[in-house]
Amino acid sequence: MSVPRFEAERVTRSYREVPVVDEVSLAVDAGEIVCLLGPNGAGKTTLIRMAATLARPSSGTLRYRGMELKHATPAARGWIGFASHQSLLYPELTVAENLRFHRRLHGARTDLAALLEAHGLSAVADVPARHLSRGTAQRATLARALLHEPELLLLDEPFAGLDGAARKRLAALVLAARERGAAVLAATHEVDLGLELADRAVILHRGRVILDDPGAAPDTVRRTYAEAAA
Amino acid sequence: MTTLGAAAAIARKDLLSEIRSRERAPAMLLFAALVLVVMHFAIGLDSADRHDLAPGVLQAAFLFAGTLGLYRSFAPETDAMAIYGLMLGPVDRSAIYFGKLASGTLLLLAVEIPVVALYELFFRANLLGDQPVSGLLTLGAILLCFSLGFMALGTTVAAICAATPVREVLLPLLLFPLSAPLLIAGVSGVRAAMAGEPVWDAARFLILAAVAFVSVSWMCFEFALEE
Repeated sequence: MSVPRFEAERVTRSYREVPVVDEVSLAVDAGEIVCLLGPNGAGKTTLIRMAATLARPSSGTLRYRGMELKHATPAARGWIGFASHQSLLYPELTVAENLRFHRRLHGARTDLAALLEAHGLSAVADVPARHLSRGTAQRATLARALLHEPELLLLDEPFAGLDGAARKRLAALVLAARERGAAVLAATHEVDLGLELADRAVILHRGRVILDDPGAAPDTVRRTYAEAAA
Repeated sequence: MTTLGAAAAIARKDLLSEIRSRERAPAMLLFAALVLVVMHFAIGLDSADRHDLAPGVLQAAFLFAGTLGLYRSFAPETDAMAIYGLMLGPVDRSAIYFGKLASGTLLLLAVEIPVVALYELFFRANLLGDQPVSGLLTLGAILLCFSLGFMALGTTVAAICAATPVREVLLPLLLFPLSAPLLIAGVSGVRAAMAGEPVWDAARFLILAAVAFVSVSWMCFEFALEE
């Protein structure tokens, strides 16, 4: 039996004794996109932040390739790519400067020109991040998250506020990361978009997994989500 | 990449952002100059007092200006949550602390130099004593030690406050009492430098304080970032 690329086992995170993520268990394999669906307040962002080592679980275990994340060295964070609805870019630096800074931080040898080209950013390479449109900033965010070719890509509402064309372009970049073999865990509250992109949907409600069935039909996922959101 | 290399990259990024935005340094400089003006009118810096009051007035101006700079020191990281990008770097997270410490110290020093010059220019306080070169060197050493100690403490306090909705109130409430020993040693160091006396006692205290603040911050900075 192969070890999942990423695994959460009975993970709980509480704030002031109130569990925001409650005994969640799920796994993501290499080359798989798992979509984490749930209404606002379901615990998606908290779970993604814990998976990204940006927050610690109150209890439970997070594993990467079978190794507990809490025992991982700082170098292990190089396996992880993270993007959210916030750009994570420095507004005063240009797109190229932002990417160059993160490339240096990760010790990556990515060809910057090729990266800019692949993400459709060549024309705005010298534009400060604060002047970018929402869609372009989001492409730059994904370029930053992918520049060190992470094996685990964590996305928190990456499509929020994007128009149709920008969503398609961003979705294509996420699919390309999966083709490369990355495990992708993407949180969104947009069911149709999630179903279109993902190999498997997991629904969170009030911090708990209420659906994680690889064989679930799209209508079942939509119905379960609608009941949770009601 | 090593922790030191990452810290240098972060400091360089911070200074480049500041050069582009001019968000902190001009405000810090203006504020420090205003403190001098207010002190001039409040306590009457007449010719007899200018020299004697200079150490306290200058250190107060640096303390206020440094605090103003710390308000926005984590703004580039939190405005678009770029701090997550830093925290995901495959290096020890203390590199973020050391990078911020380096850029903050350089920024404060860059403000202190013109403020000292302004004080001398407008109040003719003979800050450097009878031996300008050695006076300049000792005064510079004291200011460097004070800035390092103040930023060693302030960087962690600013990181803690950055995540709270009341950071504007919380930062001085936490920082001013904790930095009181630095202020006292800084005043005594500047006074000794102006008098041409040995500054080693004050410098030693400031260095020890900086080492202590760096050590404590090193241990708790990652926790402050995560929580």
